[in-house]
Order: sequence, then C-alpha cells, then structure tokens
Amino acid sequence: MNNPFAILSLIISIPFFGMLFTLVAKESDETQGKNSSNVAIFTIIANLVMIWRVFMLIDEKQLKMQLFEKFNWISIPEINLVFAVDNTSLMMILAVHLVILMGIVFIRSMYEKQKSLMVFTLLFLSFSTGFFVSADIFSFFIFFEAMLIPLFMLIGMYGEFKRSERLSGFFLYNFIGSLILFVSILMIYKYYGSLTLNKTDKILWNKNFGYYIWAGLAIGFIWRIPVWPFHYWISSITARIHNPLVFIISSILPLSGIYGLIRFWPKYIPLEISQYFIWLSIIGSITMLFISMIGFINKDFQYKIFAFVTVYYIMYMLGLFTRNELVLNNIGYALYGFLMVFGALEVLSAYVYKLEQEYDTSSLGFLCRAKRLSISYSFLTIAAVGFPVSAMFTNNFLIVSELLSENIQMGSLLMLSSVISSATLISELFRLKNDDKNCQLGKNHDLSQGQFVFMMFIVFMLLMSFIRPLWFVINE
Amino acid sequence: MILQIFIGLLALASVSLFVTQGRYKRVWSILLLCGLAAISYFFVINFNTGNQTGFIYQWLPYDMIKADFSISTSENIQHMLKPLIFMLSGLVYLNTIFKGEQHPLRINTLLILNFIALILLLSSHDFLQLMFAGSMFSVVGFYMSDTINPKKNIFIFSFLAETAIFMALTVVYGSTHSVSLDSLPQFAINGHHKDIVSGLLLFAIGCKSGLLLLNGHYFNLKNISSNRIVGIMLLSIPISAFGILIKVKPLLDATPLCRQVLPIWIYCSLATFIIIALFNNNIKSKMISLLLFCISFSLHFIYKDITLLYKLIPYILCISFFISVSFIIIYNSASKETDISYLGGFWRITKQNMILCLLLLFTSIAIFSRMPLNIYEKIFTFLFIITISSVFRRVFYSKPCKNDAILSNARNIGLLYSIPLIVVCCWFLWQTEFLMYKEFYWFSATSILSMIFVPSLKIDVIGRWSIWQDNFLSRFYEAVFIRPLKLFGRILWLAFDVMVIERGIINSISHLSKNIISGMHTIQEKSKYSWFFSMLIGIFIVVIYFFKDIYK
Repeated sequence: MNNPFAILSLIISIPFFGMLFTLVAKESDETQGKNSSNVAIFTIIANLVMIWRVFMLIDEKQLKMQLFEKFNWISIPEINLVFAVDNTSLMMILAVHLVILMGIVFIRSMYEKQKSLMVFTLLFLSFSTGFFVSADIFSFFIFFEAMLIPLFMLIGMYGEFKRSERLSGFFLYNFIGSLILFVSILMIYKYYGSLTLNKTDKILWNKNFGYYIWAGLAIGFIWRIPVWPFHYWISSITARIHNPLVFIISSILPLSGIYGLIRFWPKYIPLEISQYFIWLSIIGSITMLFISMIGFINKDFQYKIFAFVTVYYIMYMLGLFTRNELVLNNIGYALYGFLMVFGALEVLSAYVYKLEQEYDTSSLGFLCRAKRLSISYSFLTIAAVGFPVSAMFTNNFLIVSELLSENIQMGSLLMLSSVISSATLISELFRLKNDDKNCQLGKNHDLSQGQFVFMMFIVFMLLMSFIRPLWFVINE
Repeated sequence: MILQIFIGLLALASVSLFVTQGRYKRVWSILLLCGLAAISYFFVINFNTGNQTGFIYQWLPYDMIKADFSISTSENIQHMLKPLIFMLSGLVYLNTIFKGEQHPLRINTLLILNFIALILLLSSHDFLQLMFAGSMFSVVGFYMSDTINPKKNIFIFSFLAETAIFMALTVVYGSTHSVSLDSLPQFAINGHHKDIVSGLLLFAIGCKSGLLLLNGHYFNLKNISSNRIVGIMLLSIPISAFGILIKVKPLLDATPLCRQVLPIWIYCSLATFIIIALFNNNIKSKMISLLLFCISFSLHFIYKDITLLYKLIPYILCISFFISVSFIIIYNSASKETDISYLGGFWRITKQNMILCLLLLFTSIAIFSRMPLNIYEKIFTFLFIITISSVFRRVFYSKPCKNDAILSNARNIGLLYSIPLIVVCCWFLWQTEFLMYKEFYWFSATSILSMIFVPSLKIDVIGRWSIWQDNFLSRFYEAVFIRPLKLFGRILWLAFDVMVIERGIINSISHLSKNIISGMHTIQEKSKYSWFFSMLIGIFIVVIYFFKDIYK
C-alpha cells in the first residue's frame, strides 16, 4: 500500500501539536477553560479524519501489518524506529480517540480549569497513538513507558486520595514492571537486533535466554493488567478518580498490557511451558471473581465500573493466552466495542455523580425525569451486560467459546464473574430508575442537546459495530 | 415477500414510535391498524399457497465463522405466524381504545417489534440470529413494563436466560466450530458437556416461559396495566421460549436428564397455575396464571411432538387471546384498574360485558373441543375451564360490590369493542363446527356447572402460599446468592485488600523502602563522590555487558 506522506507519523504528531496549541490557548474567567477543550476537541476530530484516511489506505482483509514507516534513530548501534498498522491497532486508536473525545465533551461543562487536563490528555493521546502504531521493539517500549508520564500528572492532579502514598505506590509498581520489560527488550536487542513486531516469532524458547525473555515480556505486560494480588495498586488509584476523563485514561493503561500480549505473544508455546499456564488462568479467574464481587458490594460507582472493566480485560487476556487465530482476529473488534461502551457509561455515571455532589442530593430515580439520560444510560447498560447491540457481543461469543472449550471450569468462573459485574451495572440502572419523590434532580438537569446528540452518535457507532464494524471504510 | 412484510412492519413500528402522541393519536392509530390489516392480508394471500420465500444477507462471510441474517418462512412457521399477526392486529386495536393507557402508540410499537423478533427467531438458522432475536424480546420486554419492580424482575430474569443461552451456545460452538443450528444434532451425539448445555438451555426456557419456581417476574406484573400484561404474556418474552425450544429440541431430546425433567416440570407448573388461579384473590394474578397455563400447555405440545405443535399452536394462541380479551373487558368495566378487585355481582350493571365474556369463553371451549387431546390433557383442560368459569362467577355473580363510587362508574364497554369481537367470535364458532364434537358438550357443561356451583374461593393460607410462591425465586436468590455474595465480597475486601495487601504488603514495602532510602541517603550524604563514582562504574558494566557483541 502507498503511504505517501508518512501518515502514521502524522496521526502521532497531530495530538502533540494540538497539545502545544492548548498550552498557548488563552484562558480567562469568561472562557472557563473552554478554549483549551475546544482546541482539544478540534485536534481529536482532525485526527479522527486522518485515522479514517488510514483505514481507507490499508487492506482490511489482510491481517498483517501495513503502511510501514522507517526512521533511522541511531546509526551505530543501529536502532530504527518503525511504524505500521493493522486492523487491530487501528481499531484501538479509533476507540481511544472516541472515548477521550467523549470524556472531553462531557467534562467541558462540568469542570473548570481544564487547561492542564487538556494538555496532558492530548499528550497521552499522542503517546498512546504512537504506542499502537509502533512496529519495532524500541518505539514500542518508548511509547509504552511514555504513556505513564501524562498519566502520573493527571492522577496526581485529579485523584482523590492521599497523593504521596498512593502515587509513590503506583510509581513503584509501574517502575518495577517497566524495569522487567526493559531488561527483556535489551536481551531481545542483544540476541536478535532491532526486531520488528511482526517477527517476534523468531525469539526462541530456550534455556539460555529465551525463557528469561518470554518471562520478562509476560510479566511486563501482565503487570499493567490488574491481576490479583497486584490489582490493588491500580484499583486503589483508579477507583478514586472521579474525573471521567482521567478515569478513562487510567483505564486505558491495562489496554497497553493487552495490546503488548497481542503483538508479542507467540503462537506456539513449548509443552513444558504451556502446562504452567493453567496457574495463570486460575489466578486470572480468581481475580475476576474477586474484583466482580468487591464491585458488587462496593457503593462507589467508580469501583463498580472499575470492576466491570477489569473483568473484561482479564477475560481478553485469558483469551489471548489461547493463541487461537479466531480470537486474535476478533479481539480488536471486541475491545473496540468494549472501550466505547465503558467510556460512555463512565461519562454518564460521572455526570450523575457530579450532579449529586453539586446539589448534595441522591440521584435515586433521576432517570425517571431525565429522558435523554435515561435513553442513553439504558442502552449502554444493555450493551455492557452483553446483549447483542455492539461488536462486543459477537466477538465475546468467539472468545468465550475458546475459553470454555479449553477449560470449562475456568470458563464457567469467567461467566460467573461477568454475570456478577453485569448485575452490578443492572442494579445501578434500576437504582437510578427507581422513582423517588424526594429526588431534587429533574428534567432541567438532563443531558444538553449537544451531549445527547453526541451520545446518540456513540450509540449509532455501537449498533453499526454489531452489524459491520468497518462500515465507514470505503476501499479505493 | 417476507422481506417486504418485514420492512412494512418495521416502518409501522417506527411510525407509531415517532408520530405525535397528542390530539391526533386516534387518527394515527387507525392508520396503524390499516397498515397492519394490509400486511395481514398480504401475509395470508401470499403464504396460503405454502410459498417458501426468503431473504438472506451474508453477515459474517469469513471462512472461520459464517453467519447469515435470514428472514424466511416455511409451512410450519406460517402456522405459528398467521394467528399471531391477527392477534397483533387485535391487540393494537384493543390498545388504541383502551382507556387506562397513556401512550397506546408506543405500546403498539413494542408489540410490532415483538412480532418482528418472532419472525427473526423462527427464521434463524444460526446461533447469532437466535440470540439476537431472543435478546430483542428481552429488550422490548424491558420497555413494555412501565413500573420499576416488574421492569427490574423481567429484565433480571431475561438477562439470566440470555446469559444461559449465550453460555450454552458458546460451549456448542467451542466443540463444533460452527454457528449453524444444524450442528446441534451432531453435538447431541458426540459433543462434550452436553448435559451442562442442555441444563442451561432448560433453565433459559424455564425463565422465559415462567415454569414453576421461575415465574416470580411474571406474577410481579400484576402491578402494571392489564393491556401491558396481555402484551407481554401473549407476544413478548414467553413466546420466545417456544421459538428457542423448537430450535434446540434436538439437543434436549438427546439428553436423558432433560427428557425426564422437562415433562414433570411442565405438569407440575400446569397444576400450580390452576391452584394459583383458583385460590388467589387478585384478579390480575388469576389472569397471569391462566396465561402461564396456556404457555406451559404449548410447551408441553412442543416437547411431546413438534409436528403436532404446529397444528395445535394456532388453537392455543387463539384461546390465550380470547381469555385475555375477556379480562381486558372486565378491566374496562371498572373506572380504575385498582377497582377491579372490588368487582362482584356486576352482571346487573354490565350485562353486555358479561355476555361478551361468555361468548369469548364458549369460543375458547369450541376451540378446545377441536384439539386432539389425550386423557391427561383433557383433565387439565377441564381444570382450566373450571378455573376461568369460577373467575367469571366471581366477577359477575358473587356477592355484589357495596362501594357506591365504584358501582356508579361501572359501565359496559362501547360498540367499538363489542361489534368486532362478536363478529370474530361468530366467525370462529362457525369455522370450528363445534356442534359436531362431543367434547364441546362436556366442556360446556363443566363450565356452566362451575359457574353455578363453584363458589368464590378465598382461602387465605393458599392465597398467601401463592404470594409466597410469586416471590419464591426472589427470596431464594436473595438468601442463596446475594447475601453470601455480599458477605464474601466484604470478607475479600477487608481480609485481602485491606489487611493483607494494603496493611501487610504495601505498608511493609513502604516502610522497608523508607528505611533503605534513609540509609542510602545517609551513605550518599557522607560519601557522595564515592557513591556517584560507583554508580558510573555500575552503568558502564551494564552497558558493556549488553553491547559487547555489537562490533563483532
């Protein structure tokens, strides 16, 4: 495929330049931070147009990476930065852009002093796009770690917890994971050179170094996913963030671990190693059950959404370990639907939470009065619990079927966890629909017309993703 | 042609959703009815000849997974769809002139969507369409109920049923690697975990059709308006159970456990519904019981012989419809839906209503007498007739209501209701040739005797038992799942997250790090140049180790 103007570098740099524009955007009491958010929204929409263009440049039927861009970074020793995309990575980029856009649209009228928030959000978007388009071990590692910088800043600014303790714990945790991954990347470079990600199957399984490399890679990626008992470092931070945009960004972090496994994890694993994978499955299933149960009893809605997100991330992780071709081909679509559903649900919940805080009242029965919110919230809950209205359904069907056929006990635990986390969301929906005369929130607090139209656009995208996820691609 | 009918229905559903709800709602309703009448006409004209037409859209055309979105019909499906499309038109008509409803057009949208879902369900050739159509019923059912508790119960039960179907079919797909429903017989022969799969499907069917112990959500519907109850019971979630049972029957037949459990479960359910209908004081609960009886009766025929079902299903559907209509007439007699429990001795005031209800009852009896029933089925039919007759006695004949406000508001339904109903009943009576069947005389005699002699039963113990039964699953679910789950979740949270991880591991690491760093700090302060030098040497060693082979 032709890639005439380094389009992949462009989609990385547009959010970065948008960040620079946001930095110089003038804010005053009158604008209330809306200039920054306007610049951010414009940047993301511009980048979405470019992403759409990339979709049209690639052949979506081909599963391999396309549109290669190569930059010589260091000549001696030779280290090149390579960018390329395939369907999965593009779906991830599109979903991340859409959920961040959702977050910005919704916090626009909810929070003041948005400049720093927008700056770090765009920086994160630029790095995450870089991460998804990177096609060699070095650019992959650089962007994998670079994403943490804006995230730390955002968590530090918007997390509602004792900052020094939690942040130091979170930093320590990520630092150890990064260190392990860094050692693995160095070892790969030492033995295989600057390897591109479509050739990771070349890394051998042997007792000299192969086992250490694979162990390091596995730990480095799983470290980002809230797997028991290391989930606490992530849950204690994420569940205490009430700014929806920051929550969404912090919940995208485990996606980097999942994506790392998609890119690196080999198709064939020696028998003597694969027998130990049952332990990983057991730990994964226990974590899902553990977190879904805690989400069920927890009164904080952020934790409930965190539980929902974690259950699905772990399910996708376990699905990836099956290395089934069908799972690998479909996980991108499943994640695309999942990210949009969770992002939309999060912004709506945060909207309700913010109103509760502002009016110091309960939101019990709010949905009976707010029609627009009710329509959007009900649809998203229906999609989140697994009804066939988004790409999540069809692709989850394939992933769960692989997991069940591999190990029915583990698959059943997984289904149980999924049911519990869905029950958590359903109970929240019915709490909001349970008409209460004392509820002070009414029709006036409903979604604005603009927010509702945007939410309906997301609903439309989800419905279309169920029928044909790449409906917007017109191949030339 | 089926595609045109399908699109026509979709257009009608959209029209009734989006058109104004204000002054012209009657006009829109009439237009809606005309549209439905036209579709019904085309349906009958085109499919009377046994045409098998279809529309297929290749949805997932990949080698590893192939699934089509198909809308097709066959002779068997037509047997089911024909009475249903007339039933749909009838319900739309009744909703339009039902005085208790605020948004008749929106309910009509939901009813039409249910019918569309049924076409999709019956046409499905693969798991994905089957699950999509099944879920569509659940989503529409969620909106059919306008009160929070019934809505919640309906949704939770439907969600559990959908999840069970999802899990069962994922296991089948994992084993056969095909989403085609044709793979079920093969899975039934040599599939792994077919007992689990059958059990899950049985659970889903039980939840959807409201079999014994899984019907709390339907009895909870007594808190919503009667036309919505009828809409849900006749055209919504319960009917999806038929479709699913028809599609997965080969698998259930191959599992010994299901072969033994399902018939017993159905018989126990039938007996329970009769008991509840006889002894419960709430007239809506009685109606729900009777409609659940009809649903279980249909399930019995599906399980007994699927070819027999296609012959019998029009009969049972018509009976359910006539019984429902008679209840809607009863509700229309009172000024408010809540006043219905005070009804009694109303025949003096609402003679026309009573005559209409009796006409509907005897039409149902005429239809029953045409059905080829064995001795057990006849016993249940007798019980059903006794029950419904006793309800009519309670409403029209028993101790008169003493509340003047209710009495003054009681009235006969209008001609718009009665004339079409009389015409339809007469047409059915003429078609059934009921006088030729001796069963008709037996059933009629039973009905008349029941109306004269069976008193209005009000036994509190049994009434309470039935109420307890209504909520059995909710309580069971609360006691067995929710409370232990909450307790276990709290233990996990406090014992592991807080005690072990936060206080044990994190705090220990934090203290340890603090001590190490303060020790390091002391060392650095005292001999910082030596420390800096040692760091440089360390980095140098690491770099040399990793890059030693580069220039080779």
